[in-house]
Amino acid sequence: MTQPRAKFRAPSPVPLPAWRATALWAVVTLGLVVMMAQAWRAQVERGPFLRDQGALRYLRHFALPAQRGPILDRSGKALALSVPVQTLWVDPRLFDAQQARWAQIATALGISAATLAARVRGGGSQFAFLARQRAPERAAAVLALHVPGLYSLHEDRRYYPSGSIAAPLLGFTNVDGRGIEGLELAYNAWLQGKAGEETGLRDNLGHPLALLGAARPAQAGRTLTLSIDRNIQYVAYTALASAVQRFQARSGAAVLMNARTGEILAMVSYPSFNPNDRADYRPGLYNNRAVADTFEPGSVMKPFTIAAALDDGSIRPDTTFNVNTNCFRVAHYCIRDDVRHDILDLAQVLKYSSNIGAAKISLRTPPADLYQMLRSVGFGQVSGLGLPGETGGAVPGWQGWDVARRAAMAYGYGLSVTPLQLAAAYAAIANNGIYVQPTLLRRDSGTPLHSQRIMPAATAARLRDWLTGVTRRGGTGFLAAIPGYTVAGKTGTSIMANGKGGFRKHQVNTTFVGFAPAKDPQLVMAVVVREPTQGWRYGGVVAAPVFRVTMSAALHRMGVQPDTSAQTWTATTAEHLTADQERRWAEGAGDAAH
Amino acid sequence: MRRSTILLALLITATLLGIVAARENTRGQFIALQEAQAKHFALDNRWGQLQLEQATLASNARVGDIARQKLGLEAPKNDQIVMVKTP
Repeated sequence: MTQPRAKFRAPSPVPLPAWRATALWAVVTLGLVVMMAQAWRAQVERGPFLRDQGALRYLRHFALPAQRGPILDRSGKALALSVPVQTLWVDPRLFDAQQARWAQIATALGISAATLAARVRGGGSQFAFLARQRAPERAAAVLALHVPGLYSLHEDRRYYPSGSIAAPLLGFTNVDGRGIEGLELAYNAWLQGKAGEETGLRDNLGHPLALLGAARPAQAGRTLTLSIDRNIQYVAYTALASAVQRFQARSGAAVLMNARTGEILAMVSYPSFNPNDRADYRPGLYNNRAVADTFEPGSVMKPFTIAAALDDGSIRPDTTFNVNTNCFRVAHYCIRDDVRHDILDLAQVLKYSSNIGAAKISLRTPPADLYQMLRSVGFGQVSGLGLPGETGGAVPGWQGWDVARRAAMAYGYGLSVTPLQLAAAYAAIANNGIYVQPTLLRRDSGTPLHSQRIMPAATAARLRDWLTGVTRRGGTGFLAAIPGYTVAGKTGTSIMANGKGGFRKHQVNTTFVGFAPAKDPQLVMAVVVREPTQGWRYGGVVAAPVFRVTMSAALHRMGVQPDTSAQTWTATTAEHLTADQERRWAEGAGDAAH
Repeated sequence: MRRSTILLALLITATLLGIVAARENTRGQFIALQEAQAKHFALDNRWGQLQLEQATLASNARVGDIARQKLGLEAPKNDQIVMVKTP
């Protein structure tokens, strides 16, 4: 009954049109071509751009700090050094979550929790300094706590091993290592170096994971070798500090330089500051008085008055002057000498520091010639040291000098100078009439930077001889005498102007400028002590001993041979001294403990 | 055909192993660099401290204090200075 099943028959293949297969292949091939084209564009055409874009999003550039170059003295001893330290910083986004540990971190840092919180809040949203420039071992103790969001970076800190001795000269850097005062500022580009950079990956704790490409290494700053001698600088500073304290003066400054090369061996200013303590950075203390303070020099200008008068023939070397008066009237001013003398030759005008004698010389000299002399020895212009804050002082143009001004200029009133200018000007007398430009950098060649003849050698030789008389017995500068050496110099005591055309009777500047050995001068030094308030307030009493103590140490230090017998000198000097003078002179090199 | 496939597979395997080795080498070198940098920093730090220490120990103020206070030295007075002449 059943019907036999119909035998299964596969459907007969329907022949497909050939175009379908071709179309499929075409589509697949097109797709592949598009993909290849896109890959080409992405990998080859836009490859560098896309790679850079990617790198921007995950790579970091890290600065490699360059160490600031050291400042050395002439024998290579360090005056300023950069030492590696670590600065701790936080990312507040992570660090804020760790408040439970803040107290522990504050203890490790040695600050209060409130200070720590203030520092975290005081920065930006992603960066805040926690502690700057910590000694590496102290920073390591804090980092060992492994607090998320707390990182460190390497920095350098400037240290000044000689402390306050050379502080106003060297200046200092700011916390980022940039010079902002003194030599640190003047030679910042030389000392600073060039920071490097490396690129790579870091984890969220700031630890490096990988570096990409070659790092650009940091170029360390260069070494600055000064002409300063640290030992002489120390003696000058302690001697000056001792004088300022003993005479309860307001301030003091001194410059000691090599008369032949212009190299400055010591440049001190007191009061000074501790350069290793930023709390001590106050303008009144870091001011370098040796170049920044000007004052009316007083009698130390007399040799230049005489030089100008000799050079233009206004006077002859053997001219004498009658100074036997209590009051030499010029216009409505009365010029006086501290001690009345009779007839003085030029040597005696200098030896006894006669104002009347100097005024008489000046009144015989055309003012243009005196002005020219003062300018040529460096007064009224900056010396070219390049120190920030250096002033040129003031020498008013000769056209405006009336007769009173002409007389006053002769003994150092009516113009203002710096201690550095005084030292450089006397160096010209010491150096046979050739002015050498002062420099603070060591001169290995033994020649000056720049030199110029400003007076005939014969005039300089005469002045040297006459100035030697100042430190002999009876001279105003006998306290500057050094056993074993001939010393030439000049004292100065100037009454300070009150800024209203008059003078402050009881305020004086005391000065001594001199050189040694007088027969063959090697070293020249200017000392200025401002406003001493105790004792005999004269340049020969206040400033001359600073010269003696420092110069004798400097002569020994520089290996300058003695040129006279000490015993002979002591015997001839002691004759005319009072007990107090003898005691002070006998101190010799002094024991200027400070 | 079969031999070339095997050769290709071997070459690919060698390349992969090479990549792993290069990565490992880079990592090793990087760690060595990090260690060297850490050592450099530590030595730099030590050098800085020693320089400071040397400068502090040799400071004129310290030497002067020791000379005066511990050794009882003082600068010679003028009459104590004796000049000698070399023959």
